[in-house]
Amino acid sequence: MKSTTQSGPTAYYRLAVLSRVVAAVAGGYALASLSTSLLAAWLPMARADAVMTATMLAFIVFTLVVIWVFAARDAWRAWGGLLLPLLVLAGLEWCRRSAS
Amino acid sequence: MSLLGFALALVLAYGGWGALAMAMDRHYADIHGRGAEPEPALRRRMRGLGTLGIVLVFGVAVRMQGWTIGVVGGLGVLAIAGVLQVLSLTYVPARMPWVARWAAYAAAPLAILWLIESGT
Amino acid sequence: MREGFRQSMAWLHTWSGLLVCWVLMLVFAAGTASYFKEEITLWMTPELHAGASAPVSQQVALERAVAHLERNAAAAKRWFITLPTERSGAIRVGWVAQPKDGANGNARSRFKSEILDPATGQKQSAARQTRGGEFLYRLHFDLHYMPVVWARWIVSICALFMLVAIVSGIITHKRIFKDFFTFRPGKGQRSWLDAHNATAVLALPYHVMITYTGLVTLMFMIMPWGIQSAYKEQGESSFFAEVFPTGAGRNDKAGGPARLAPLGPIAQQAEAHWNGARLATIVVNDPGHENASVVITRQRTRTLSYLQPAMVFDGVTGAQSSIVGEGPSAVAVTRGALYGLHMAHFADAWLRALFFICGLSGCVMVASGALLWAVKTRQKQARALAQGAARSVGLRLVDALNIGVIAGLPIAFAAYFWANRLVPVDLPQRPQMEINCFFAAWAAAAVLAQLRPSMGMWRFQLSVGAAMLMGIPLLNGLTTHSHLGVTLFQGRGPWPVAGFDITVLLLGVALALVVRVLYRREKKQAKVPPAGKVAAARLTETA
Repeated sequence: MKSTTQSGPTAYYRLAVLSRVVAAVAGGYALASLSTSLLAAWLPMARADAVMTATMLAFIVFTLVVIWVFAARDAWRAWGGLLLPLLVLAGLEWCRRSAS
Repeated sequence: MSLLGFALALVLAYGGWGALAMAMDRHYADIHGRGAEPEPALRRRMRGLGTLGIVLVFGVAVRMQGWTIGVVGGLGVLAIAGVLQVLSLTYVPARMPWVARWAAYAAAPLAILWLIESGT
Repeated sequence: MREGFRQSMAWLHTWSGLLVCWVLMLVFAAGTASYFKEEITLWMTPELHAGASAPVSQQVALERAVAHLERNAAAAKRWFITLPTERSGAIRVGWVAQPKDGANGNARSRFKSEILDPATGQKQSAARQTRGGEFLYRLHFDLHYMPVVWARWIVSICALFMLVAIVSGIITHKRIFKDFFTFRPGKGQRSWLDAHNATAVLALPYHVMITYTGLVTLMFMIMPWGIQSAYKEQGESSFFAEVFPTGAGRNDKAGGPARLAPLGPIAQQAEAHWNGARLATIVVNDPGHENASVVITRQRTRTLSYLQPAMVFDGVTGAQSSIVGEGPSAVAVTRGALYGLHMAHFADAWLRALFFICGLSGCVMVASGALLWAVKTRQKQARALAQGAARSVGLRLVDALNIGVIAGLPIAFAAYFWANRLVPVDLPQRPQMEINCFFAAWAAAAVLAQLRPSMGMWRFQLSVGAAMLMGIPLLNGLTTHSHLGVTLFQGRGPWPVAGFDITVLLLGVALALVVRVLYRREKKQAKVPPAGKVAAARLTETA
C-alpha cells in the first residue's frame, strides 16, 4: 500500500497514523496505570514505598509503550504488541481485585 | 561552590572537551584542514587526556559539594564548557588547540590556589 | 513510517515535539526564571532594598508572627508561619479561614497570606503589593486564568510528550557522538538542526532530569492508581499522611475552646531534637481549640532530598505527640531526591546559575526545534512559494505561533517587570494588574503574529523585546534608587537586584544581536538582482 500519492498521504496512511496515536496514548496510559496498580500492591516492600516506586516507574512504562507503538512495522503489529500485555495485565488486575 | 573551584572546573572541562574534539575526524579537519586525520597515537593520547579532564571536573565538583550535588554541578559545568567548545570550533577552530592547551596549563595554578582556599 | 526504526523515531520526535512545543516554551521560560524567584521578588519590591532589617532570631520572629496571628486570625482553622531564611528575610504568615456554615469549599480560596517585617512584627506595608517571582513559578505549572487541576493536567501531558520526544530524539540522532560539537552557521536548515542538536545534547542530562522530575512532582495526580490499589480500604488520605508529613495532625473536629500553648517552648523542643537546625514552617491546626496541634518542619538543608521530617505537638499541652518522616526509606529518599532535583532547593548561587543556563538552553532547544520544522516545511513548499502561492495552513500557523511565542514571551516577561515599576503603588488589586500586563502584552504579540507572520514581524517583535529588556535597568534607574549605579558600581547591593538588572540586560543584548543578524540578511537579499531574487527569497526565507 502506498503511503503517499501525487497529492499527499493517502487516507489509509492517515488512518494508520491515527490508530497508532490512539494506541500509543490510550494504550500507553492504560498499561502504565495497570502496571502501577499491580506493582503497588505486589512489590515486596512497605506499602507506601511500593506505591511510590510503582508510580515513579509509570512514566518509563508509558514512554516505552509509545516508542514500541511507533517502532512497530505496521499499525496491525503495533496494536497486537500492545493488546497482548494489556490483556495479561488486565487479567492480573482482575485477579488482584477479586482476591482483595 | 567558590569562584576558584568553578573556574578550575571550567578550564578542566574546556580542556577535556577540546582534547576529545581533537581526537575526532571532523574537528581535527576543522583545525588542520580538510581531509586531515589524526594519527592513531595522537588520537589515543587525546582521548586519554580528554577523559582525564572530564573525570577531574567531577573530582573538583564532588570535593566541593559532596557526591550527589557535586555530580549535578559537574554536569552543569560540562554543559557550559561544551557550549564554549562548540563556539570555539565553529568560529575559531584553528585557535582552539592553543586555547585548550592554555586552559589545561591554567588548571595547575588554579588547582593549587583552590586547594589552599578550601583548606587541604 | 514503515521506513525503519530510526526514521519512525524521527517522525515520532517531530510530532511529539511540535504539538506541544509552544506550551513547553512557556513552561521552560517561566520555570527557568523561577530558579531565582526570591531574587525576582526582591527586585520587584524596591522599598525593601535599602538596608534590609537586621536579621532577628527565630524565637523573636516566631513571637512576632504569633502575636500578629492572634490579633488578626484568632478564629482561623489553620495558621501557617514561615520563618526567615537565608534568601528571604521576611516572616510569612498565612491562615485558612473557617469554612462558613458547613460549606466546606476549597481551602485554597479561604487562604490569606501576609508578609511581616521581622523588625517590627507588623505587616510590611512599605513594600508594594506584588506577586513577584512567585507568579512566574506558579505560571510554569498552574498556568493562569484556569482551574489549577486543568493546568497541571495540561502541563503533565506536555511533559509526557516531551519525555517521548527526548527518547525518540536520542534514538534518531545517529551521529550523536560524532556531531557532539558540530555547529555550521549560515547554512539554513543545517544550522537550525545543529543548534537544536547542540543545545539538546550538551545539556541532555539536565533535560532528561527536569522533564522526568517534573512528572514526579505531579505524579500522584496523573497516576493515582497505585494509591487506589494499595490503600483501598484506608483511602488516599492515609497514604498522603504517611508520605507528606506536613499534612499530619489535621483533625476534622476542632473540639471546644482551649488556650493555645505558647509556641516558643515548643519550637525550642524541636530545635533541640534536631540539634539546633533552623526551623522552616510552623503549622497550627485549630488554634484555640481542644484538638489543636502544632506541626513544625525543619529547614531544607543542603541535601538533595526535598523531604524534611516534621514534629507534631499537642496544641494545648505542648507535648510532643509524634514525629513524621524521620528515617525515611530508600524509596522515600529517592522520591525526595527527584523532587529536590526539580526544585533545586539545595543549590547555592553558583549552582543555581548553572541550572538557569541549562534552563535557557532548554528554551533554545525547544525554539530551535519549532523553527527547524518551519524551515524544513518551507523548503518542501519552496517551488509553490516561488511561483507566488501562499504558505500552507499548517506552515502559516506554525510561523505565527513561533513568532507569537518565541518573540512574544520576552515581550511578556519584560512587560511584567515594566508594569512593576510603572503601576501606581496604591492601586487596589495591584498584583493582578501586573499579571494582566504580562498577558496583555503577550496577547498583543500573538495576535499581531497571527495577522502577519512574516520576517518583518520577527524583526519587529524581537526588536521590541530587546528594547524592553535592555530598558529595564534604565527604567530601574529612573524609578528607584537601587539601580546599577548604586547596586553595582557603588557596591552597595543588594546583589540580587544588580544580578537581575545585568541578566535582563544581557538577554536584551542577545535578542538585539539576533535582530542585527536578521537585518544583515535582509540587506544582503535586497542587493541581489531581481532575476535571482525569487531563488534567493526561497533560500533566505528558510533561515
